[in-house]
Amino acid sequence: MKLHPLVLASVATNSMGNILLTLAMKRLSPSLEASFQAHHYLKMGWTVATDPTFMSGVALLTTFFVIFLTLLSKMDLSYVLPVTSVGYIITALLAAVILGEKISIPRWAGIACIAFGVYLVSRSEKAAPEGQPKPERTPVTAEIPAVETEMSA
Amino acid sequence: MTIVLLIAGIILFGTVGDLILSHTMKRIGDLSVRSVGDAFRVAGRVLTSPGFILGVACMAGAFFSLLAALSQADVSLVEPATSLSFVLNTIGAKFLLKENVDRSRWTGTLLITLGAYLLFIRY
Repeated sequence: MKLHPLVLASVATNSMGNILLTLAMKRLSPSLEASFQAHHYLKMGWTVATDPTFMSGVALLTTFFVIFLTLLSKMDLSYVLPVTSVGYIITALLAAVILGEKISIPRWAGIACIAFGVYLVSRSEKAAPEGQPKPERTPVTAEIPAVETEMSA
Repeated sequence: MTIVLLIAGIILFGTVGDLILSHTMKRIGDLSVRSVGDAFRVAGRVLTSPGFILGVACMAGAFFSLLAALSQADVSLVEPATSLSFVLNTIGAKFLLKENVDRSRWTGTLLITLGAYLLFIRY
């Protein structure tokens, strides 16, 4: 399975960003809830803005977003979104290693389904390489004037 | 119950945001950057387009739902829950963005949704 390098970059930044945010939110949540109850909303903002883990997570997710927009400017949404779900596999594996979350047998089955699904979607993009007009689309746009001339005739 | 509402927020905001952003980025088109000046021009063009602002507002809604959800549940639970948005997104991409979704792409998308669901449910 061959994926666009930008797809891989988007997946890596997204997964790592989510892991860092989880680490930060789990650690900060008691102090955030205390500030919230005391109506110290600015203090909540200060708590997250000065937390290196939280801010690294935000930086990674911002990078992900720029890469994601670049992908969307070039490729179909119905290709980009499914293919970036490789990130679920990476997030589940990282969550197991870094956060100590469990991967049960059904979850492994889920990982296998996603891997095969991504393979199928990535194959469908090969049928219409980037930069070339998509063969299935051209007839659709060509049909419209044809229908109109028939109707006016 | 709260977690269900938060996850619904992630899915709905996320899907609408993705559809708007995809539409906007296709309209803006070529993002190739060859110089620093190019980078600023492209950034300016993207940042000032109404579609981008609207899309980002939706993504922000999804993001805050995600943050709230992550403080209540595991990342390997919350993350894959957004899988339902694949089906919604693909339907939106086909009918609103007029993308060509062939059988291979549909099968793959449904498998991914199933896979993410398997990751999502608790045992």
